Amino acid sequence: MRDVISQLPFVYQLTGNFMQIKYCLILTLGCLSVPATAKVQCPSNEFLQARYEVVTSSGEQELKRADLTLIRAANKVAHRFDEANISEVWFHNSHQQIVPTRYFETYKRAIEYSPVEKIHGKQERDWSLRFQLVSDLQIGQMQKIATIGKDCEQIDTYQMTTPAATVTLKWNPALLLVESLERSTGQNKVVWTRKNIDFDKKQILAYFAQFNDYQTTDYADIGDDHTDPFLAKMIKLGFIEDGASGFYDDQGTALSGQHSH
Amino acid sequence: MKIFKLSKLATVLPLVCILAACNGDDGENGATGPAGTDGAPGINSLISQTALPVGNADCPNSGVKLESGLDANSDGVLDASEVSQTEFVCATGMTEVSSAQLLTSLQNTWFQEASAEIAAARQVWLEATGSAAAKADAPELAKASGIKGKAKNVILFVGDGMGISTVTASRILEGQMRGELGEENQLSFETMPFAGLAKTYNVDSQTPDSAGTMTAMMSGVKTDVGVIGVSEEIERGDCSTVAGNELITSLELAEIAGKSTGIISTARITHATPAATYAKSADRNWEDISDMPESAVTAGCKDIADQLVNFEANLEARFAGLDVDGIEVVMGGGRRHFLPKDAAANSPDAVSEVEGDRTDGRNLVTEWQSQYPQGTYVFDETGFDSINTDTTSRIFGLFNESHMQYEADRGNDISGEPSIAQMTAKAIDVLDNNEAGFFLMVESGRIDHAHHAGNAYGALTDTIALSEAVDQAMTMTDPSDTLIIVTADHGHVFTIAGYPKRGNPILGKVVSVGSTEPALAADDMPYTTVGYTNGLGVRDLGAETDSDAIYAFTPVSGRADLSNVDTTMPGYHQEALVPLSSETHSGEDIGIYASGPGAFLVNGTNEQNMIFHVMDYAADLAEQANAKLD
Repeated sequence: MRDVISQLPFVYQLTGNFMQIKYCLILTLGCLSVPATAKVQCPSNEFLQARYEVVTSSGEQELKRADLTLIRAANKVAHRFDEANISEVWFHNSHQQIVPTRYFETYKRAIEYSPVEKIHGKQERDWSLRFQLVSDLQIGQMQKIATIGKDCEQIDTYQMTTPAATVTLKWNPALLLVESLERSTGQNKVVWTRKNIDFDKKQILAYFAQFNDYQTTDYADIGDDHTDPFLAKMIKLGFIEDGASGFYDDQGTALSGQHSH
Repeated sequence: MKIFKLSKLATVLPLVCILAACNGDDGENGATGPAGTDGAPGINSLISQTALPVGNADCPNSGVKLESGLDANSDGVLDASEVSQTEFVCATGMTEVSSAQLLTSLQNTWFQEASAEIAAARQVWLEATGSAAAKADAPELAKASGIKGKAKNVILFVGDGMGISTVTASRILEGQMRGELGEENQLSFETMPFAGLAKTYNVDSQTPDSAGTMTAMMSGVKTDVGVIGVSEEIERGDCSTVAGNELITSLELAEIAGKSTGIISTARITHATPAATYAKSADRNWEDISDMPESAVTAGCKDIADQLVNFEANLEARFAGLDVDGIEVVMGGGRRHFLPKDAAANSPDAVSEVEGDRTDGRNLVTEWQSQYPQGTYVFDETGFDSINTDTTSRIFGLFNESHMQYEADRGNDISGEPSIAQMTAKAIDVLDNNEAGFFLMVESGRIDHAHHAGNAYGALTDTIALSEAVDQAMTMTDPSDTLIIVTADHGHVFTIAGYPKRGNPILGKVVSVGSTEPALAADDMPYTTVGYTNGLGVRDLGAETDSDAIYAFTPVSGRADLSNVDTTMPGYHQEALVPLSSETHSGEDIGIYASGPGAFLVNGTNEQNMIFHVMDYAADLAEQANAKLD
């Protein structure tokens, strides 16, 4: 069996206009500001946007810092890479398929990818992975070591240690939201920290609505038109399954024999 | 050339039989007798060919007069009194000089040269058969020269991206899937009696795309890459250059001639290959109005989906007084281009949140239903299965939001999809109710896509599915009245290499003759028999049957250690030398396979646009269409 930690979410490492997927990360705490009321009525966890700061470091030296915004709208969720102006959106359809689309905001273009069907890849049938950044399965494999606060402000701390890495997750169960996530491997550390949160549904819907006007291209048609400069440039990026499959390490090197289709 | 070989063989065989006939010992030879009296000279069969200038009564716009008969007076000249058969090969359609569309074709050099090729091929046939048989059997000559128009039905199968190496590897895989060695196997269309090659280049491109190549096949005119149903005078993406450059297609000629017509594709039905049967577009990507620049919409250009649904009205508008009944059978993928961008219009098996892409609010499916209330619209396998071809005269089937599934992945479709063979059978059952015959184009569109994804398994299994569709068509039709052509639009950079032993799994690693272990390359790693010159490169996605899953990854190049990888699995993507975001087409020739009336015209190496002229000659499409317009 594979290292459980390596199956945890990924950290999106932003490099200029390009991003590569990296394995797990994070940690640091953020405080969720949820109004406390007599009878607790938490904000909907289906419509929110949370911005994360992702810091990669080695020892005391910070190697990289980037932002990712998680934006939810019920059966749609976006991971927006702020520096790159790229949004990856997943739609959970009524047939329980997860349909990915990548939006290039600078170009107002989009690439539509194949829905990953139930019998395919192990990860993509798990909507919680995209919706929460950490899947229910992964949380279930960790040990809860502390709980603070209550109701909407309850934060659970989970931890898992393997020979490969130590992972610590701070988790808001009411909002199904990562507060922070830290993955340490020796001197190397990746930390995701939630910096702010917003529940403005109108703003969220406007964000998704902007994509209606984008010119879309079916992934299968990319090979038909090598004259399109956008496709020639942007499609060089791999999609997020780089990390999901677990078949490649964070250097893009094949891990032969470790996949399990 | 195959014809010559056959005629030579016919001469040699009797001699072989005579020499082999005696079983006892030879007796001693008798004394040589006196020389006999010379027999009377035999009578030769002669053929005379006369070029006819423009203005000729029989061929108003030039042509060739072919006269044949026996040289009764043995003077080596075919006198008028000796002529027993006269044929004319005319530049077609010039009686319709008011038709700008037709003139565009007729005045085009590509069209004229390919048309001349047909005349030359026909002449070769006449000479070949005439030299062998006509001396003793003049009716044979007449029979051979009377092929024109004998094809009541025409079926054109196009394997998108089905290059020669794809055909070879598919035949091996099909055989091996039956437990055979594989190499000796034949795909259904490889049993056809005639075959030739086509040069696929576009007018402006050494390596072509589907738009230019299919336009060539359907219209008889080579054109630029990326444009649909228009000549090379077009400027891609410029709507204003369409007018006056529209070509007429064999499907349109068949429609005008009163035949039933149909198109099938496993890709989107608005994709380049099927679109070239019915649409005229300055850009292959204008599949619906949201794909078009505002300037093109304002200038009056119509998107491809619109042109499909309004095919009947558009064709009638181009020819005064014409009354046609439209395309009877349309089946494929691509619902997104027919539906409005409104979730309310989603199909029950929609994948996307909003299935339709149309930004003009139109629902072309309901428009089609209003136009053809007697027609049947289906979107899934259940609906398809319920079609009664005895009572259904018109089918519009859109089985997927985008392309239909790969054959290997078909079982994973939400509501199920028919196979290409099932669609072909259903189409023929509907179309053959017309006594005037039918024209059907069937495209296996996803061979191309699997190759682009660098997934040989997907490409080969879709090719085998196409072969099954062709087999279905061959079984359901009469070769005496149905011309079937199977070809590709272009090839791919897909290779069969190394020296694997006979029967070695075609998708496996190379195992040399006499060995049981994979051969090692200079880098001490095993390598596969099939591979790609460029593309996304090697990935092992195991049992994944969706070839496009590869697009989740970044391109890689070069070698990988395949020692522990099962390269015969559906999800294995072959190694590629040059890393590209997508594997590319190739510029090499592709095969043309043919059976039925006029099939003999397929031989040698041809310009791809010659395929139109073969169909036109065999079914006499242009002249029959002109007769309707008179």
